[in-house]
Amino acid sequence: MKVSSFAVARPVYYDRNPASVQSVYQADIGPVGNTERFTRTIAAGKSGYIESLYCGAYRSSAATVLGTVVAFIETVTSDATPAYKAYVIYQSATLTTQTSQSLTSVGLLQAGDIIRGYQFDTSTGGTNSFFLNCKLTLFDK
Amino acid sequence: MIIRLQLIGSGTNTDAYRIDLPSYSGVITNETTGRAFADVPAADVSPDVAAFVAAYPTYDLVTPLPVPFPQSLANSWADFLARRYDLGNARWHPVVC
Repeated sequence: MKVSSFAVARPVYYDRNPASVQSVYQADIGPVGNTERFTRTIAAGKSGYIESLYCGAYRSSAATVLGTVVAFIETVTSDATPAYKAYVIYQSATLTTQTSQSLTSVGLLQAGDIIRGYQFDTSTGGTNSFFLNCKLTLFDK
Repeated sequence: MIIRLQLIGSGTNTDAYRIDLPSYSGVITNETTGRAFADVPAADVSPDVAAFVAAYPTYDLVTPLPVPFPQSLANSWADFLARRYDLGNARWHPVVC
């Protein structure tokens, strides 16, 4: 009887049929209600590793009536529980007021999990630039 | 691929403006017309929907399509997405508009 090796390790995640995907939103816009700018759902048989996130905003022109400016990225597990991963907020009339968060190696998403990016601005008039970026490596479970 | 789609939601914290798709990015919206441009992964677009989008190109978020998105195509796209993601009862019903 031939005995083959008993200790063949599974390849690391980035060698299991990997695919790099990026979800991106960048725009300079006026006030808008809470808006989902990107979303990524993990399909059955796959997992996703969140390699990096960037979430930022800055005021690019003055508002008539000042409101709150928010940008955030959240994950939603397959049991529909959301949790913030990055969140920036300001309320400022000063041009170029800015805030941002940059994170790396954020964690793992399983099948049915979702990562989403949102922004909103409750001001009247004026504009803000928003940046919502996420890089995932999708791979076989 | 960039597709003009129906925007749903009301823009509140619990009901954000969004598109009924499992994956997309780079969304540009017009809340007044209820339309949005989104970058949808090519693998999520069934060939018949891709053909419809190519046949009726859109250049803004205001001008209506010359023909409505057929219900049969909407149903087949929903089935295509359900099979592709295979997440139990999860369903999406995107509408080209």
